[in-house]
Amino acid sequence: MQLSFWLNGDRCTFDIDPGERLIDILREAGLTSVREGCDRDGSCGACTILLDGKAVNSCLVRAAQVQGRTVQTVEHFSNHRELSVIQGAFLDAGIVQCGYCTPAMIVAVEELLQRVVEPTRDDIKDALSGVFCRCTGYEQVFEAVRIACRRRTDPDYEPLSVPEFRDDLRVVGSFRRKVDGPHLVRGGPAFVDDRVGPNACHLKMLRSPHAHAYIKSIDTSAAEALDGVVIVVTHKNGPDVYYTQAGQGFPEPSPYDRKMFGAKVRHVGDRVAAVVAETEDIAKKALDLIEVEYEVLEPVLTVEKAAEEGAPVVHNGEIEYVVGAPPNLDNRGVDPREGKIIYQFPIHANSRKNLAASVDGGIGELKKGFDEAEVILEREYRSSQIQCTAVEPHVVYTKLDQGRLVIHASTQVPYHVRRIVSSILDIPENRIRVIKERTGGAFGSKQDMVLEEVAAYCTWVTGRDVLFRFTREEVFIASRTRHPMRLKVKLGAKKDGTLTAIAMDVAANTGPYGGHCLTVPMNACSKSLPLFLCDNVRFWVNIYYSNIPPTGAYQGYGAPKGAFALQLAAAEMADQLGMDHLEFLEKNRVREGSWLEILKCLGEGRPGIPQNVHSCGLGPALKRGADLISWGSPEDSPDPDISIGKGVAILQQGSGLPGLDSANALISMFGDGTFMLLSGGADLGTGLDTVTTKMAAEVLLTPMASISLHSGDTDTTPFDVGAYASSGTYFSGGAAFNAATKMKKQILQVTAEMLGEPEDNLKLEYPSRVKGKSGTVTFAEIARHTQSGTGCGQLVAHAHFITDKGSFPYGAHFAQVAVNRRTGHVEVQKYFALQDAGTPINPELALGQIYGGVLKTIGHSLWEEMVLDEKGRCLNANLRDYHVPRIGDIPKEFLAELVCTDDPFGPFGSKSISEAACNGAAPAIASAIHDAVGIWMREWPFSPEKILKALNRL
Amino acid sequence: MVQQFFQPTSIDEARGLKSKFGEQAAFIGGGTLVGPLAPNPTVLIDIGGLAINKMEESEEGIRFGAGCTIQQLCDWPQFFVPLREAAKNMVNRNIRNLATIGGQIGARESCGDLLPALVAMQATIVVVGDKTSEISVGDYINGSEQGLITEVRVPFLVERFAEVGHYCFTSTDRSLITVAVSLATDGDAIKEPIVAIGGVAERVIRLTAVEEALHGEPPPEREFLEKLVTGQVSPGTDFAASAAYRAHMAGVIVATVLGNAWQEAK
Repeated sequence: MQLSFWLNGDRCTFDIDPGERLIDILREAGLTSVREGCDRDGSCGACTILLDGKAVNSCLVRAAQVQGRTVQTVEHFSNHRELSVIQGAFLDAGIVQCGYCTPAMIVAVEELLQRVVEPTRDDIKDALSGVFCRCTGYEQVFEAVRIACRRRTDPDYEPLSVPEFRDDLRVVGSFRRKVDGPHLVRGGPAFVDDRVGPNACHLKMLRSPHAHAYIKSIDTSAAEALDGVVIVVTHKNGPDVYYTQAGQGFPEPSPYDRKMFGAKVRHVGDRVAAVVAETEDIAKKALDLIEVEYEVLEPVLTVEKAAEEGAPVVHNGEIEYVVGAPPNLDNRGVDPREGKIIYQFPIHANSRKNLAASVDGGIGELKKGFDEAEVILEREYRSSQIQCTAVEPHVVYTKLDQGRLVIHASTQVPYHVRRIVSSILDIPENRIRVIKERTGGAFGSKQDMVLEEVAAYCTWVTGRDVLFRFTREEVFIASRTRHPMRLKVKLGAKKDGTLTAIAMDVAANTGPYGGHCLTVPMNACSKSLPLFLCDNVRFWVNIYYSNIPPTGAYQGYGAPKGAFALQLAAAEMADQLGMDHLEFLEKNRVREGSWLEILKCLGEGRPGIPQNVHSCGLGPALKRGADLISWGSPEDSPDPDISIGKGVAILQQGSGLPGLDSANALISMFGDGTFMLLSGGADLGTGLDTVTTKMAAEVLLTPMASISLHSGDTDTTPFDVGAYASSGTYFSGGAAFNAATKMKKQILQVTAEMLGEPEDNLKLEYPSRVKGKSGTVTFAEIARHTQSGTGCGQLVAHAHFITDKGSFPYGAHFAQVAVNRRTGHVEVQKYFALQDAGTPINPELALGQIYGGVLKTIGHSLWEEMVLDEKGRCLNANLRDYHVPRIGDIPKEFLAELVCTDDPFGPFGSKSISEAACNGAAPAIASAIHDAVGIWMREWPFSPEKILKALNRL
Repeated sequence: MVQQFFQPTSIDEARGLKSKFGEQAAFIGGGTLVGPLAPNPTVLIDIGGLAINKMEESEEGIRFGAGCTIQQLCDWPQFFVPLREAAKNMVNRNIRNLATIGGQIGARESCGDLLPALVAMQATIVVVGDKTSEISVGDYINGSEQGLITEVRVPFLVERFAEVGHYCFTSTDRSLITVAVSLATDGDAIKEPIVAIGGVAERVIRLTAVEEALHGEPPPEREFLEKLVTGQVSPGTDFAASAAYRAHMAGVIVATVLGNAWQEAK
């Protein structure tokens, strides 16, 4: 069919297929701002465009329907390099994070401002109701719209809404536009989908319909015979290499318990066969032609079932240890279809009993602590399986370039991907290049390699370009999710509130494979126990295999669940003592100077390192939060069915993994005195690239514009473990700080030589010069000097960052909820998040990280849950049915504030920010619900149905 | 997979195409509900060129073309308030900008937000099939008529009052329960109530036993009505909620909406 319409002001003509979607036409036309995240059911809105001036989802519109009509995408609104008013306002409000949905949000705001001059908060919510964003928590978009409206009449308007810190520094602690922001708001090519070449083959995966089964037979002959099929890979012809998909530092604590394809499937959605074909349609047809016969086994879905004597065994194959094999290891009689498990070192597993890993430890004497207690409280808490729901589905594009394998990945861990793929393909790492593209949200689910290795293998074997993109359903059932956990907490306290003993017993469900099986559940303890100063503490963590969809990392790791259990238990203890909850927290909380002995037994598969707390902003955070929410003042409800309550929780996280993580950076001076900074860090939309750029600019007293940054490319940037465990600012930022510091030293050395003065006489001055007693030398002059025929050569400085020192971000979150006793509905009316991130490097982006983390976990607390049937099938594996919060669900009063402390170890006193934000919502909301209606909600999500049951109304 | 896409310019042409291709073919307006209307159609018939998107007020009430989008109707000052409220329960503006009222009715979804309101307000639709007929929305959604909906007609409420309500978990979720009530009054008694509800059966239904119990009586105590409604519905359990919770919420929402309608009447 011929199609002609007005596209971004130009009359365009296309040849289209009947029924073709508009989104496909627009992307083929090179409009990369139009994106897809929901299998085209209209639920994500990442493809939003203006059709005759109305915001619509281009995935729902058939191309033929726009004949003669007008279509505008975000590309229409910026004039080459000049941003539109709204695009600029988005950057200045800090609302841009990963940028995947940003063009859609901007288009929706364009429509809004064309019909409403001064939009209200409700107008803005209505305008953005069609766009799903998982990163930002939406709150800053109201400020973006306000700035845009103001600039219509005052183009030079400079907002003062972003708080600034550290008057002694130039760019650190102050607002600067995100370095990748302009490109993202223009919707320019940035993501994996934008890199796909015209001849790319499509990879589609045949997935298991059974949660637990052997593949008795598989016949791929008809699929292979189909014209256009390039290769079919199954357990019969796939690589015979065991590995973990977890992107963790080598040697990983996660067991190597899977091959690319196995003869046993362990969850609904497990891999059975990969088809690579010339087109997506051919690949789908080929999947239908594969005949598989299964021997179905009883599935194991809960930790209780997994731990039962005689329960079906999820991994019952051969066991190997690289080091530390137990003397009684017995592999006789194992079924080869089970495969094997290789442990890099012991993690106290017993896979024959579904125990994937275990750990226990403690300090003091628990019995003595409970003996000393005047009140003892024992409670059990549960968390559900939660999907990360990054708007960009998992996607990878692989190709060969001059005989080398190139992987365009949406990943948090490019270097781990390179290492693992190298191992599976049995090719050296120097034959592989991983390019971390912009990630359209990650949140932990892209810390694992859930599809990269399959595409890489197919490209390596066939020589063909391969695109492998998950459907939204695949994201749910085959990527990564939060572990369901059962957490038992026992507290002992004196009547004055002093904690005498804490015991935590965690049972976690790791699902079919053991990626992060030890470390995520362990974090439930390691990021919650150190919040309380108690001499007698013990914990037990047991992690079980099962046949639920795979689990793994999710923002906060295990901490949100541990925080929920321990903080809510503290609230219950305070209630039992008849003590004000805040007073109880104040009495027992960690503070500056505290010695955290407990950390010695909370390493990640290795001995931990006890730490001193050198900075802790909990005191001011609690005070400020209490003021904001009028703590202690009951709120009346005008509706007799509704009761209002308030709750609080304190929280912490880490800043990377001292003793485990490492990061590198390299900076070189160009001929005009500007710089190129190469960072191994992986910016997930968090603003890490802006952090590292600021580090270098601050140290070198040069404009940020004089520093260009390249990051996350294994060929060109130095090693970094990747973006996880809240390591970005601390480690990757630290590496950039160290590299810039080395560069500064080189600059001073060269200047000393040029001016004939001792280095002690010299100091850097802004912008980009060195002042001595005898004169001033610019960086440009230094560059020319060093790069001349008589110079010392281009100035290049490399540095790495490792540490055994921990820096802990702290925070206090306060919630006010309204609980409807008739419907069970819980409305979060107010939420105040006060967080100590040390020196906030990018204040506006740090606030965005907090808003995003909080809204995600409000969702986890109230609505989100992957619902499985008795056969392990997920019943709500799509964005329409999963209940992710949207802009209409944010609290009416939603405020994040930064409490500045100066940490001695992080670069410029910084600590991490985002993960900690996930730890407060569940306990704060649960204790607020109790304050409102007197019930303790001890299981996620606090659904209306559960509320009514707890109220004995159902 | 769609193999043919037609853009007829007249209703007759559209109807002819549908007759020709039968179940392979689906009408497409906004395209938001093609799946429920016809799974995997090979032929799409675009109704965008049929000029069935006029909105007008007459002496009897309002009438609007089936091709009107939900947002167009929301923006139309003459659109009745309860209908506008129900329409706005479709919170996603992008969808409101695309979805047509004809598609919403044609999909017959149990939780279609506008359907109970149209039923309670005694709306009718014009359906063009082998013959052209005007039937009530209630009869249509519980029937099997497959013709092309071209127009919706809603009479003025004469001494009747209507209210709507719904419940969903998050703002953009599909409604779990959606309710509309219209009623007249006779002194202190309710007269000829219509109670339409979605989310408790495969289609939107009227709770006739509840209507009969309410007719001629003063408004009952809220708890009584909740129990009455709960006993009259038989929803299923699904991933979103148990049958018991849906039934409970049916009672709660009906009682709330009826109370609001009574207050409005008074």
